Amino acid sequence: MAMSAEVREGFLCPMCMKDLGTVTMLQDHFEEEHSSEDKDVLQQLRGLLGKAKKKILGEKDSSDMFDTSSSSMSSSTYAVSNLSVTGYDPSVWDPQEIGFVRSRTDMFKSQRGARVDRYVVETNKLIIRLDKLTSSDAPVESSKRRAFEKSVVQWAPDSSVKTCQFCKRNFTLTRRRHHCRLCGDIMCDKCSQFLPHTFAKKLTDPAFQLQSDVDVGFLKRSDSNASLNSILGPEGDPHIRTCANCRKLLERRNDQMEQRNYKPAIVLLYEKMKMCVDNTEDLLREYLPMVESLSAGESIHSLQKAQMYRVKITKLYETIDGLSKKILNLGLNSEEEPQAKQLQLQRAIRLYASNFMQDNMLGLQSLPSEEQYKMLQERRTQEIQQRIAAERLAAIEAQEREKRLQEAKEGGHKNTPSSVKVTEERPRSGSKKLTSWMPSESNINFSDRDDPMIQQMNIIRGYIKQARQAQKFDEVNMLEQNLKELQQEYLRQQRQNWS
Amino acid sequence: MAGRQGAQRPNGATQGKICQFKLVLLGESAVGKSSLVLRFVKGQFHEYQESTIGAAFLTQTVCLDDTTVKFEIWDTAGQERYHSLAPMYYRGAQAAIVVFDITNQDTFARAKGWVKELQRQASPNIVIALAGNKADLAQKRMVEYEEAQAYAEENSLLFIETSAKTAMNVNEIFLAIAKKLPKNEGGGPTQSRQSGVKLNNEQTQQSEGGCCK
Repeated sequence: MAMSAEVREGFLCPMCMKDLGTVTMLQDHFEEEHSSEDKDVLQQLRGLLGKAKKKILGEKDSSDMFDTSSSSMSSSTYAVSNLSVTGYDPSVWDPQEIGFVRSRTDMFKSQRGARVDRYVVETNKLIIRLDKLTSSDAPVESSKRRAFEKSVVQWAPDSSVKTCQFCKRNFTLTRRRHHCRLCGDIMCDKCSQFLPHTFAKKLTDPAFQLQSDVDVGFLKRSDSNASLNSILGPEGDPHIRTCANCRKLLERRNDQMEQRNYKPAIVLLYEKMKMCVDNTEDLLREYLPMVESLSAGESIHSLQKAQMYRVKITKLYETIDGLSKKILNLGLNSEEEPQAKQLQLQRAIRLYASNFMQDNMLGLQSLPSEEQYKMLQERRTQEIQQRIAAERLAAIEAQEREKRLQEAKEGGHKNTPSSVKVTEERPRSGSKKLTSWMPSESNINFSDRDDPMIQQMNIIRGYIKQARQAQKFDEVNMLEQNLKELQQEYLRQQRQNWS
Repeated sequence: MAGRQGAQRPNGATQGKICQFKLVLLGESAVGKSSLVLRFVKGQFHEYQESTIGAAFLTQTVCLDDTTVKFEIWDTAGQERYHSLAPMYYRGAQAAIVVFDITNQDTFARAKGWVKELQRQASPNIVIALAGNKADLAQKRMVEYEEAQAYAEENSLLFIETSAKTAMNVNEIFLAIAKKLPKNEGGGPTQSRQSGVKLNNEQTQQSEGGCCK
């Protein structure tokens, strides 16, 4: 009745279904046992194995040659001879000797370094000028502005160029010369680039960049804005006229900065989650001793404060749960299928989060309710009183004993019986003390260790481990679902307890 | 042979369905719930079966004509302190076996209580089976067969007397439940089924990737 579907895998002999372990073992076995039985099957088997081997070795397409050779050759030497004849097997190559070696790395580095330096220095210069141009005390009035701009960078004299350096067209009355405000070079209006102040600010002030998520960049040059002056951009936004070279440098710098600050969504979410995890750990460190002392009936901590902590912790758990779920589902809805490695990472993060929650959430001890707490406190005071009483009693007894001892000494000859009495009394007072400690031991019942829910969750966790080891993923799924239900139920109960 | 069977399976699958059902065992402690399950799943019987803590989980597959029924069995602890766990397990269950000990009238009363609780709290179309266990101890019988049978009929339960020790009617009771379970519809079972399949898909994908690289 119980079904057991047998699926066997491995190097099975097609005739007798024995598992031989390796290819060669299978071949040998087949030759010995079945070679007389079925020549065709044997031939087929060899062909199959040979093809597989060829594929593994990555041989070029020579299947035709291989097929004809296999049919003509005598069988036993075939597998070996095939390899040596074709000579494609890379494993038979000797390692090649290394000839003369010269390192060009240093030369490359020095050349590249010089180039990078130049770019960095030039870009820095541009940015310093940009800062001056956009500073708040720069004059806005057009006449003063021109002089100010010229003071920032020396403008190339108009007579020095006849054509626009970018489009190579002659300057005329209508195609006038314009100066790049950052390097002073000359170009025509059409080749001018316009840099908005917001973008300039982003480049000059790193703090500004961090606050603003707005996408800023160079303005597109449109024909309708042919007669722009250098202060007002197409949208009336203040902007700065630059040449294409400066624009390139600035944009490159911008890209670098963005790259440095860019974090993928998964990193941002993970950082947020990690922060929550750290917070939770901190809170737990304070909360756990609180619960312990509260459930012992002590009044060092207030119940309200502990409850507040508990609410905070559960809220953090919820955020962790939400964030990790978000990470898990990142990119699943987008058109582009995320890469397998990324999915793996996302799953791993989610697993980490749920493990963290399981480890800490389930151990999260519940607080006693107000009434329970009162009871606990009363019990504690009772205990303390009992202990005090017991100690007092013991003290009185000790006094009496001493008195009796003295009396006995005075009596002289009744020494032995009184000492027996002392030894008798000692265990009695000890046992009294023990019983008075009993209630505090029964306090363990209040801790979660005995809660059947917690017990069951631990059991299920054990099952999941077993099922994982047995690779029964269906079962793992079911069990995990159950564990989740248990956790939810447990949380619900806890919430009921303290509301 | 392996290849041949693998080739056949897709053909078979077009006719045969695979159903998955959650089954929960309830009843007073020491009536033989764990023993029944152990007999059914592993064919074993332990004279001194330890008492269950919380709820144990086992699976077993049963073939019924053209359908394969996979039982997801939750064997709950009978002790009173674990009573609070039971709702978690019978809530989503499609089937329940309420077990009592035929040599103990109290366990039968408790079984009635479980049936009532199931009828009130569990899903409305749950299949409930009443098992009078320890039928091998018929000479010490305290619950008459007719009495239990009448009660079962009244509440439209399946009723069978079983013995985990002698394996009497153990497979039969699970088969009877499997027959009675609806195999076309399914909210809970198909859901878990789907997620199970998904997991496998991922697995195969991963292994493929590793191979090609």
